Amino acid sequence: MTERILLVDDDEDLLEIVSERLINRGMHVDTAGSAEEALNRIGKKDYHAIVLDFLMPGLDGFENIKAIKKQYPKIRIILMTGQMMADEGQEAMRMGADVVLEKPADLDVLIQSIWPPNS
Amino acid sequence: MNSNDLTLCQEKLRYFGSMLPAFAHEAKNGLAVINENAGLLGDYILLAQRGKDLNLEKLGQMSAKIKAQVNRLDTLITDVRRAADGIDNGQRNVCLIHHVRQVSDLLSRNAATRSIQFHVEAREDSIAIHTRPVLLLHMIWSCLDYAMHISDPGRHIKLIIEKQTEGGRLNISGISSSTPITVNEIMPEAARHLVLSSLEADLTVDKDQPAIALTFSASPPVASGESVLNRSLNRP
Repeated sequence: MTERILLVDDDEDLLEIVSERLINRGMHVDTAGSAEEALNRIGKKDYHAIVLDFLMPGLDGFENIKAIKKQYPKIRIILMTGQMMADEGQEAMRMGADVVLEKPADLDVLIQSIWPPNS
Repeated sequence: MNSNDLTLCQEKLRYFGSMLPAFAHEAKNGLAVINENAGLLGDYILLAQRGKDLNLEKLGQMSAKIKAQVNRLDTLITDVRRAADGIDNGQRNVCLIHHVRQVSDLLSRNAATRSIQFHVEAREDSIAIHTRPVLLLHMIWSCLDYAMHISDPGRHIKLIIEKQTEGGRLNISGISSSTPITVNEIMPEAARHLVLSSLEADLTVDKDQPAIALTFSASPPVASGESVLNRSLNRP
């Protein structure tokens, strides 16, 4: 589990805490507070997965997923959301999200989404 | 129930249908922060059991973050419960500033996705009006939602609330639009007339600025002075 993960959320508190908890479990974690910053970071490092908040300043969640998946098809995208209907979840998966998790999510579930047991 | 009552019920339902997803999102975000802090606390306990010193400063920060989220959630839930209390057609004394802040807070995350920010400005601490709370929230929501959707990204939309001789006024400026703004796009005509009439309010647009103004003409009935008014004011 040494490959790098990018956490993207405009909530600084969440970003800091989730990042610390994943680092405590031996993961390499970078953070971004906006979609723009995330896209900028993805271009500079090789990420295994991105954990992305659905509603971010500047771009909506679908646009974020589409933009990332188009440029970096191998990156695993885990979408975190506090507000999503079933059809929106399906649309997110169609756009390229690998997993959609509803907030608040258990950290073990998040880790299993980043690193599925059969991967 | 006549057709006007039915229309007003539909409009109230429309408000709850628009507001509740935003409320749920904010509530879940707050729960996520509390959940992650609880998880991190569990991590620290495990580390302490393995002999690592506890960072008391960090624990104090976590406690403060949890308290801040609990306070925020409490305000959100109290506001929604008060809105539910006002679902009947009864009139109540409410603070216009508090209700504008409540709506702009709930819409702020959606606005941020469009790189739009709301700025609430008011000289007074409170402006009391006598009105129907759910329809008031619905009308404010409709105006802000419209202003947000027609404006270009990066706009700072000003929400200026002023006391009037009778009632109060909300002026929404800083909007940008490639097409002339119209009241019909804020709310369809038939429903708008009924809602405004129930609120004893006027809705006008200035196509040149462009800006939207909501004027409420009903002050609370004066019983025995300011202290009575403040006590009955529907605000935290």
